[in-house]
Amino acid sequence: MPAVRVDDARKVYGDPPEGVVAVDGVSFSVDEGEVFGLLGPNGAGKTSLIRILSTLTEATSGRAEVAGVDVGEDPRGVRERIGLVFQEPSLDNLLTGRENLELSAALYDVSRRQTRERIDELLDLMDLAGRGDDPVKQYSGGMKRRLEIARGLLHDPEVLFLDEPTLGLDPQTRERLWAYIRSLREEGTTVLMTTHYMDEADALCDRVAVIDQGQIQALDDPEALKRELGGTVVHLRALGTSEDELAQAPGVEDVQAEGEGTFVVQLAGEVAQLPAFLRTLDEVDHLEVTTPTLQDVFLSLTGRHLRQGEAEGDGWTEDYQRMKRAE
Amino acid sequence: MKIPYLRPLVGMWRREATQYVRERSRLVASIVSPFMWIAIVGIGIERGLKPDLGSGLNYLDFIVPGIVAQALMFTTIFYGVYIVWDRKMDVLKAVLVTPVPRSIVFLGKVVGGATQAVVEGTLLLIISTFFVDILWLNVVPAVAVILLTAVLYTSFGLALGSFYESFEGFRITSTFIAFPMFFLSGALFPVVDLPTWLTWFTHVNPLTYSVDALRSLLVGGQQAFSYLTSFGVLAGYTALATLVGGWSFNRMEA
Ligand SMILES: Nc1ncnc2c1ncn2[C@@H]1O[C@H](COP(=O)(O)OP(=O)(O)OP(=O)(O)O)[C@@H](O)[C@H]1O
Ligand SMILES: [Mg+2]
Repeated sequence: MPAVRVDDARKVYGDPPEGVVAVDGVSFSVDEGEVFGLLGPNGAGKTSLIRILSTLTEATSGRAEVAGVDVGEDPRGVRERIGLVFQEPSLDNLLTGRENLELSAALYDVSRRQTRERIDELLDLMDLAGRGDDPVKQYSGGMKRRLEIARGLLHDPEVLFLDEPTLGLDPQTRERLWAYIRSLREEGTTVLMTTHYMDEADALCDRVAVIDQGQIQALDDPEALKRELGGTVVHLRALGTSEDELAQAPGVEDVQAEGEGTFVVQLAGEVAQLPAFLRTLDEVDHLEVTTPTLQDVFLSLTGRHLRQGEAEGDGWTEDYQRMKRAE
Repeated sequence: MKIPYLRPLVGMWRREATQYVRERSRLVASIVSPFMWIAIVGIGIERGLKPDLGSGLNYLDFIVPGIVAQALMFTTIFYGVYIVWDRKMDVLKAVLVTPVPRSIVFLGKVVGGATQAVVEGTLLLIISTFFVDILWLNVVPAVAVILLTAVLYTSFGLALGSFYESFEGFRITSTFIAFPMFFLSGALFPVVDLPTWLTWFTHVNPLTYSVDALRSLLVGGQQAFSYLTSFGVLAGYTALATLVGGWSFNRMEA
């Protein structure tokens, strides 16, 4: 029995003529104990899908099962088996960190004795041990995020949904959370997470669904996705050439123009094609040969970067720096 | 035996109670306004107009139970703002994704609101002793009226709040509903010899029954309705309000 099964799910917000189609006929299944990633840009429909699976909203059509329970038929049965870390903060700022966790433990009917142990353990894991009795309104953004993750783990759910879990975490905590997610997998917990960070999907997920405009564009394990894309990716800057010209060159599978004379060229096969391709170029300002990353997979599937205005880097670092500046 | 959902219910009540204790301004605000009604309007009218109310009550005797009842009504209807708040702060989502049924989520909030109302009611009774002689012998049924009134209007306020996404919208609507109920409840003046349509309103207004019962229990004097009628009507309205509240929480989307 798969831990999550989605069958032709659609979600339309508002009424048909001008309604927004957020999820557009998505089907997949996640095995028990798998870490499954939904990778996609802003507005791709990741959160909408999680809202359907966690019974917070009803799908417009299609079916979904979580831990063998149909989300439409027995939503409470689903809620008993899942944990969810929301993308946006959803803590009670008037309460302390510990009180927020105690509330959640009460709602999930975790026994009192277990509650104490679990809370101490999780505050420790999330590096909040010294701050548990401070009101949440005195927490920084990253601390709130950590508390929120602790809350999602508190009742040991069978299936854990993480919506952008590492947004705003510092590098150490991010690493620690990754390690913890891996250990959850060892214990047999199924994790379905969304992210728009390539390195995260690459490092954590057994399988990744690339989702864009409400549809799954590709679904496989990260290695296979990269392999499928082909052997070699060339990033180059050459003002004297054009997308069409490059596409004619030997061995070229796909070309993406990045503007200002920059192109990402995907070559079929391994490096063997490289010399023949390079000979067709007259003048090159910059050249970089890489094996494909998930970033390249995404680019070739959608013709767009995962995040607007981000040509290189993992995106997470920039987000983190932006958060730090905002604090 | 384990009572189902007792732990979630207690957990939610604790959350509300903790907030109440931390935000002391809530309690102060809920006491100041009725105090002013009694101390300024009550004393002012008693001294200035010396109204003849019959039944051996002076105006302060008359107004104190009425103001206690209306203060409870205002606090508890406005308590509905906390469901608007929970939704706005996204705390509601985190509750709705747990296995706790909506009816228990609703009940948790009602118990939280009613607790605050009973604390407020008790303080107001104590403050009242500075202005009138309270019949302490009747304090138990009086607290029962306070409790029924509190549960009734908390449920009503929460049901109303579940339809609003903005504080402003909720505040305007609830104020618009609460003031006529206050003015036409007999809290400030006896609701006799009114035009038919107003009489009609005073009779369907549940606060009329709270005020009437509370007045005769706390300071004596003539009742307009028997205790049986008042308790019956209040219990009926309370049952209705909790049903409507439960239903309105059921249809709420986070
Ligand atoms: N409650 C809503 N009402 C109307 N439209 C909505 C609602 N929630 C989401 N949408 C729309 O549905 C689409 C998908 O949104 P969703 O939040 O699922 O994307 P996402 O993949 O989670 O994006 P992000 O990476 O920014 O979190 C968007 O176009 C969004 O504007
Ligand atoms: Mg999202």
